[in-house]
Amino acid sequence: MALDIPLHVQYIQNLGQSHDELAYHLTAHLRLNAVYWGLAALCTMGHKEALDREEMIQFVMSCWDEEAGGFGAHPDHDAHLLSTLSAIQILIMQDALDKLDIPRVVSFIVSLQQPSGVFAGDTFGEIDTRFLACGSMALSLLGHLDKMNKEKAVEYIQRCKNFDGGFGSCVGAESHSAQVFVCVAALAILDRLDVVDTDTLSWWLSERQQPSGGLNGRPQKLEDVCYSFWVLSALSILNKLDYIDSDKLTAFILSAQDPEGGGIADRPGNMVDVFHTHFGVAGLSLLGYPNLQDLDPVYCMPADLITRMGLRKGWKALPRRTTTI
Amino acid sequence: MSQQTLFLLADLLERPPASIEILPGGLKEWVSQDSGVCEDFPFVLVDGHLGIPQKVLYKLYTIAVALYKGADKTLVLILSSIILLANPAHQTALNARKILVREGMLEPKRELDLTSLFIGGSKDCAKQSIIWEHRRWIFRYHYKHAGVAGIGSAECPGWAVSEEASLFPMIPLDVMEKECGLVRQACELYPRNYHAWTHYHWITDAAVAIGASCPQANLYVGFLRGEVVQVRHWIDRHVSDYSAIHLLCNFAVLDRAGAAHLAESGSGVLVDELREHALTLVMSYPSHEALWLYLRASLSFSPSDIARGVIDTLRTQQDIPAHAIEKYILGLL
Repeated sequence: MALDIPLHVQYIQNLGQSHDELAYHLTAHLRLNAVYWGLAALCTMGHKEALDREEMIQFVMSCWDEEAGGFGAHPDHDAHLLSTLSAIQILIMQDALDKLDIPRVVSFIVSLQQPSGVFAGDTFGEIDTRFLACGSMALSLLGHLDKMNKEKAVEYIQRCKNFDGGFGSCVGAESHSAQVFVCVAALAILDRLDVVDTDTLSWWLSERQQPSGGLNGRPQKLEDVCYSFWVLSALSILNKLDYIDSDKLTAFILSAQDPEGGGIADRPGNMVDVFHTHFGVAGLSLLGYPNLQDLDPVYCMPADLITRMGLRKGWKALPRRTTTI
Repeated sequence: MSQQTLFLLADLLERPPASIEILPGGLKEWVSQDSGVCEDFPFVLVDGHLGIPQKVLYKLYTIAVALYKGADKTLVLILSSIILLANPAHQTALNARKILVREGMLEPKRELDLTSLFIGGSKDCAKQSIIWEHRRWIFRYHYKHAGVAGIGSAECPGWAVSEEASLFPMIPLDVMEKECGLVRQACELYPRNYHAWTHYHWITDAAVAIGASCPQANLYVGFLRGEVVQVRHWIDRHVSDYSAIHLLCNFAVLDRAGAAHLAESGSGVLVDELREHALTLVMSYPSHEALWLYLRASLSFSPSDIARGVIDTLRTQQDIPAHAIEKYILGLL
């Protein structure tokens, strides 16, 4: 089975056209993130133009929360760091950063850093290493990384390192592949990868590969396509992608495609969604799958764009193959 | 489906019921011959236990979302409860309820009770980080801070440092015990529940901090010691639950640092008990990755001569694969 790029492009184009569906309302709190996932997947598949640029920018700006100075996930939703990062990523990918009130959004992001170094997601104070990575990424993309307390951020990540080499969502929390990605990506942005116990962590990440070829997020959990990105991105940043059986993982991701309607699911036979479609395609890109564009594993954005911005770190993906075999 | 049904559900949740359950399917599956005329139709209320057909809930969700924009605070209180039951990750609805708590329109205790009902009755609620964080926010709002710096320190990895410890809310012991019970309930409903176990760590971290700053320190240490026993028993019954194992190993770190003496024997060292526990479980269930990681962690906290002794023991066992010893343990030495 090969990656059916035209079908997946069509699947993403069709998303969000049925505003009356229950699923549309149930996912409103993730809408801006979903637009980012769709656009990033299209960029990786070489079809950025498949969604209307002006319409997308207009939607992003409609999510601006004037009171907070950040973006909510949907018009009339409260600002949050997750959706604010998505908005920044979309505007950069669409070369529309001129629409953004950069001083205000920088001020919003910086205000969320806590005395411990971690970031809160919003003014109500939920903390998570995800938000620390979002804050670091957003400030780095906007050229204002110097506005955050980098030393305290690194200190907090160090405190989240567990005896298995992995990282959790906060101090004391269990290691989790997605949290490993956010911590390793943040450390890469902060130029402090020396904090990582590379051998132990790479071993732990490689143990996520299951007999099916798919990767799980934690010991004895089911494999899931999205971990193709979380695990591979961390290994790519650590230059250890060869710890994974790439052929088996590629086959697993491809087997989770919907051959009729397009899109990729968490596991073969399950319902597809744009989240798994994006992270499945992202994983395939890092594995050197043919006819895909290079993806920067630190920012999860097109590699050529990040390189042009002067933000590329020393990660390595597998060489781009010319054939699927 | 009408707005009247929405208000009926809000009213039923307000009573509150003894428990709730999201029932698969719609009305047809749950209507018996005489239930069509009962006052709680289309919901199922039996001995205080409330059943809500999932399709009904989703229809009410779309109505609630449509009414939400421009609603006054009284209506927001009603609508947000329906929205969150159907979609517990709805950050804006949770924020609105926090504001209502601040403004005195919603009692913190009632909010804790309602979210407790949601967590116990809905898998989706049980696993959401933001729902657990909502409870922590309520605790922080409702109880005063520990204040005096706790015993947590940078020398004890995985636990709060003094500055953080002083910000923990002074939650009474009986409330903490109930909260840990809620976590276990959530972990039965949604197994390997990452955010529930993270919340459990927060509760025990708060107990460490409060124990250090109150005259009844021994009661809090007693509570922690009881939780260590509970988690060990949990692992006996859920041998693939590495989340619980991770927490137990964090207790060993706390014990080793002298922050709290948590060994069941009272005078011993917790890591010695955990190492024996892990070894027994590995020998009984050698195919479980989680148990090998348990043994690996407990050995990493043990003197190397003891770790070597454990490896020698494992090598004499016919049912223990040599490759597993090599993969999980030998790299440590």
